[in-house]
Amino acid sequence: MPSTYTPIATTTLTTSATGITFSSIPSTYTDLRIIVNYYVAAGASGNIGGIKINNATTNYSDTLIYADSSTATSILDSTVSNRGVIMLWRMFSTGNQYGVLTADFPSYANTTNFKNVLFRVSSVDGWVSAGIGLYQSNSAISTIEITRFATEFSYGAGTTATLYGIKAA
Amino acid sequence: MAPILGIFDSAKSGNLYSASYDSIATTTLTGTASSITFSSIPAGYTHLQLRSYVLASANVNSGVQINFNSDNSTNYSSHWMYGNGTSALSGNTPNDTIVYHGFGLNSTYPTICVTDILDYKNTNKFKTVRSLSGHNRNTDGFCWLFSGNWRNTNAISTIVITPNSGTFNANSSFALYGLKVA
Repeated sequence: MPSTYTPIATTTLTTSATGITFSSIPSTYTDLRIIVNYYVAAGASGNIGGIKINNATTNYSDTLIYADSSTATSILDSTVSNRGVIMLWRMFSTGNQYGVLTADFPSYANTTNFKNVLFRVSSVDGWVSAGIGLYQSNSAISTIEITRFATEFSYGAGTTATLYGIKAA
Repeated sequence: MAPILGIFDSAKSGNLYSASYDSIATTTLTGTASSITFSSIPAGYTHLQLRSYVLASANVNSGVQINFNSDNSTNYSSHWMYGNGTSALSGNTPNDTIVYHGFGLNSTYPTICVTDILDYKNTNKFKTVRSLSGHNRNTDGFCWLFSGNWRNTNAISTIVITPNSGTFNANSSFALYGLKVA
């Protein structure tokens, strides 16, 4: 059986940044997966992260389920909301405790159908979330940016992000 | 670190470390299909992962379903929670004939399903699955987390995936992977 779970690229931040971009992504895999071990300090706007595909600022929608220690709820952003990104729920870190974002991009290279990202975020302060993002474009995904929605938001030094390719037989 | 779902995330916390991740079989549809079958699944792995990109003929809020070893009896059960863009809800189905791979069927907006099938060849215990699935149609959509149980001790050798309504459409893709623990 062919072994297939291949690291394509890794970034480790040495200084804070508003986003991490993987570009020129090869189209030779079936799915992509990004795992981010992130440091995001508390900001003024709820620490809402985001994902951009192919540098687009429109045509995104998402549905999220999230919970803190007492309540679970859900939100939806449509293209009418025009958030400019696929929304990620609260991303907090503190001290030496980093959070984790895992994002899957299935069938990312097809040029016939819309693209999705299925993601989970574990936040150090107790928030947990999962969601589905839709990018209404038939273009193959060649660039992914793990970025922000809230303008106060940045990824701190020590944040690592790895892009993996998953290839089906 | 807060608990994290998923076998690969588990690697980060030291649990269920996967030493390999192998492609076992894949089906990408060029036409419609009423079901997808993975048979003669090799027993050389510890866990299985099923990853699907689903387009369907029916535009309905209904399930993408899994059946093991052609067992169509009521030996299955599921629990779930999901968000619909407004609320987080939960429920269960006891004594069912399937477990869930995902939810939502549409001809334009794909449904994404990732299911882990744990310890699938162990003949001393019932089988447990967990799924994360999403389906967004711009102005509405769902994100689902499922757990499922198949009350049978046989090793899983066949997986059949079916839409609850209609057929799977062209460009749907279903991929089965095997994971080995070191």
